[in-house]
Amino acid sequence: MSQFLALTVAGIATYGCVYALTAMGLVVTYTTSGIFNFAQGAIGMIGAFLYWELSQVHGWPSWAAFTVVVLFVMPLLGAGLERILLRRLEHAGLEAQLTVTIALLLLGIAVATAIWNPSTARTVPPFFAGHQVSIGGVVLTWHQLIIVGASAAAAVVLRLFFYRTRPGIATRAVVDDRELTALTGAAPARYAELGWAMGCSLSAVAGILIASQINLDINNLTLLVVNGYAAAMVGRLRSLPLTFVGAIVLGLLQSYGVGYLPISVLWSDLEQVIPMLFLLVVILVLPQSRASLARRVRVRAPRVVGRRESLVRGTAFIGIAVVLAFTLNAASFSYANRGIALAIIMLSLTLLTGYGGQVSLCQLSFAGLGAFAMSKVGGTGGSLLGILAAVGLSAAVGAVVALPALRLRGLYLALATLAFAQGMDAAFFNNIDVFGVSLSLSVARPHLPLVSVTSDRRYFAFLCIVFTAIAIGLLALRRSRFGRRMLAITDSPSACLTLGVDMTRSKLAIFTLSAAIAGLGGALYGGAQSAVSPNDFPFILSLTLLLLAVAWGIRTTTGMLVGGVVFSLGSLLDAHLTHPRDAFALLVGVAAIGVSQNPEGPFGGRTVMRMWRDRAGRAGSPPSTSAEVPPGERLTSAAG
Amino acid sequence: MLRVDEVSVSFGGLKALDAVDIDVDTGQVTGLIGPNGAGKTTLFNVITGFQRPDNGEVLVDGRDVTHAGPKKRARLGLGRTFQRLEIFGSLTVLDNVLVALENGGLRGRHAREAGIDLLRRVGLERSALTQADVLPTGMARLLELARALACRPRVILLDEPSSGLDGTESAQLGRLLVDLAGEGMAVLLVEHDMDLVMRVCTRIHVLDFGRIISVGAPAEVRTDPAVQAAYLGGASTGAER
Ligand SMILES: Nc1ncnc2c1ncn2[C@@H]1O[C@H](COP(=O)(O)OP(=O)(O)O)[C@@H](O)[C@H]1O
Ligand SMILES: [Mg+2]
Repeated sequence: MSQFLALTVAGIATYGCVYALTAMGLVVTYTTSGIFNFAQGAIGMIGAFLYWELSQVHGWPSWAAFTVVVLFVMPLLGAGLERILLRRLEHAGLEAQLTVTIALLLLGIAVATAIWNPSTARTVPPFFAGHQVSIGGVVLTWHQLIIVGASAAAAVVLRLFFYRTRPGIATRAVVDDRELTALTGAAPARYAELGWAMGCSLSAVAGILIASQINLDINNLTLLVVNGYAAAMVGRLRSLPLTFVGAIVLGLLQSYGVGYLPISVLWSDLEQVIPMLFLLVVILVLPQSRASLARRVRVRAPRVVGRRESLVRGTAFIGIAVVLAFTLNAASFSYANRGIALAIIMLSLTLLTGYGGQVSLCQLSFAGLGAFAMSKVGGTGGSLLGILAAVGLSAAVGAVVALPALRLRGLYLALATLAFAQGMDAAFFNNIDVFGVSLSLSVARPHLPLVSVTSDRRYFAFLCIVFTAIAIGLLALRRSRFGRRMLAITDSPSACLTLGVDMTRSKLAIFTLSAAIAGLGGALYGGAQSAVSPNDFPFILSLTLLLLAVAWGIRTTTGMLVGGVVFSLGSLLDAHLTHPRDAFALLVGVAAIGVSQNPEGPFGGRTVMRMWRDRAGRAGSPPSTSAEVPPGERLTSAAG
Repeated sequence: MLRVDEVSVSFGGLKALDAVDIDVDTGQVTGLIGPNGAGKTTLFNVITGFQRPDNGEVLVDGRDVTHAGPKKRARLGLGRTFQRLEIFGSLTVLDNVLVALENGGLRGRHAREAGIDLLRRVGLERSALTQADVLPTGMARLLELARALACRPRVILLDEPSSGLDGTESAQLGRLLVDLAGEGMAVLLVEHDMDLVMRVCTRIHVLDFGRIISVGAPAEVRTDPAVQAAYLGGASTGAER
């Protein structure tokens, strides 16, 4: 019984209330700006480290450090981010919006790693260490009381904000229809800035308060946000009370889970798995709103590449690849081959996200499954059956993931795939029953019947040919009947409904095919490195992959090629720099800014010429939004 | 053909539709007019299944479809266009229509020919290969009309199809609507252009603040004092909303 009480107290006062703080921060940013902030945890982590720096290194009193971080630095950071990066994305596609906050997350980790060396242990003492109270036999530290108090205070403040202030009232309940808000006279952009300031501040409070309970660790704190997502989903990213309840329930589940469940090898990462399962269940049982008129996305689609052009370009690329295969020096191939294999995996995103409009954050999990199948079935000889198995396994798992997930819209689908990816990380990839005690599997290069492609040079040419074939195939698919329907569903689900188009079947097909491509890419990626380990497929890398894909133009196949190679070159840079994370941070930062300025990427056909022409064209033609004529003007013709 | 029976919808405290009755008959163009915010688009959403009514029924051919989804209703012969455009921007104009035709089972050359015919009908055949998101508003509305026609609907609902069109174009649109009705289609037209409405409609419903305030032939509606008052009053209250 006393253990039960202790676990309950920890569940509520240590975990639950902290999750509530993070989750409420997510709700407030999402409600005011319409953008889901993946970097919420990373921002809280930065806040916690800043607090540590001020209070522990510079010796500031803790109240002063807390005030400066929570009330000055973080709100400024939030407002600045909104203004510089996020404001222009209001009408961009979901993938561009997600990408920019994902970039912030990666950037936050990279910057923190560069400033605060992760191998140094740091601790943040709790507030009023040593003080505690006992209420009816239950012992609470003062720090826990502060956590509870802070979350309650935040809840009250936000409640007042949403119900008593003009910005709050204006933004409440209209987040999914921002144009409606604009019609009713609110100015969402101004409020979004305020929302981001509040959200960042809340995440810092959460980060600082939890830092003394768990270690001050970059990754731990960043991933804390996953628990926040799960809780916020209970409130469907809108309802604060439900969010709060969700946070407490999750905190309790986690506390009881860690306290009571046997620690098995399979579920060694229990603390990570429980929130993911919770998130998955919440998303899947969540009632989805009826088909509604979709959020308006104003992006100009890239030009459709014709058959001749795609063949010409493909042949040219293969020609260049062959020349490179003969001329590159031997050391380059490990990077080049990984890069092209990654580019193949990224093509799965062009299909799924670029054409199909569905954002997946688990493509590397499919790739990992592909590599696994290739290793087990392909054996040391690299039998082609292994390739078949890789494609088949990832396609099958893709279909199984897609079936329940397809009824989810946009963001929810993305989060469900993220939950799946994290689950795979914990239960599959880091499982010694799967990857062996050494957590490494050797993967052979495929054995082709007529010509051997196992040397580095030949494998490079082979990968380039596979990439080209898939790219040409995707472009052909896009021009086909199936492709027309696919783009139609992406552009306007509402119109598809009124035309009687069956969207579920198409979406399922796209998801499955995309998983298959990722699986194939994964098998070939494994071959490029000769072996794979769980470190090749962590979910965070799936996020990076999406970031690169979007930054280089997710709707273009050329973009994927460049993205894959850049990704691989990033690790080349890492190997040569003293602060490896700096290069990565720079890369991610540039990508984020690039996406926020031009969500279609550099190969999306928006050349300077075309933008200039568009502008000139627009000046002459009527505005493209429906201009409603005031009723008064109509009276003349009605009466006359 | 299409019957709306005592339909009510409210958004929070706002009654967007209040016990609305409407009949749309085959072979006629029926008008639905009213000031901005009267609830016309909301009524379209209720009829096509995008908005669940709090009360009332929607009947197609005597069949109750109140609880059917948009796709089901589309298959029963309901077609519509959207006031806030819903074209497929990354496809060409012809491909927009092809999506609908191919969904109906046409393939290859047959589908393309049928597509060109439809585009010709609305006067867009010369833009067939233009990417749809560069069309000016007026033409995009015509494209939505062509796309809806590709499903061979029995009832078609048009939400302000002439906004963005010039005088000649909207006269052509009027003739097309009369032709469609002549072919046995039931047309429900929401329109701000009173000349067009008065010319092509046989019956007109007037909606104001979610209520039907007048029904009748164009001449009756035009002289109805309630309608005159609504439009005068609508001009001032409309600005507040
Ligand atoms: N989804 C919605 N949520 C809240 N209010 C809405 C929504 N859709 C429409 N309204 C309100 O309902 C009223 C009727 O709108 P609408 O049907 O668009 O009018 P109309 O098409 O006649 O101009 C307006 O006051 C509008 O603000
Ligand atoms: Mg309207």
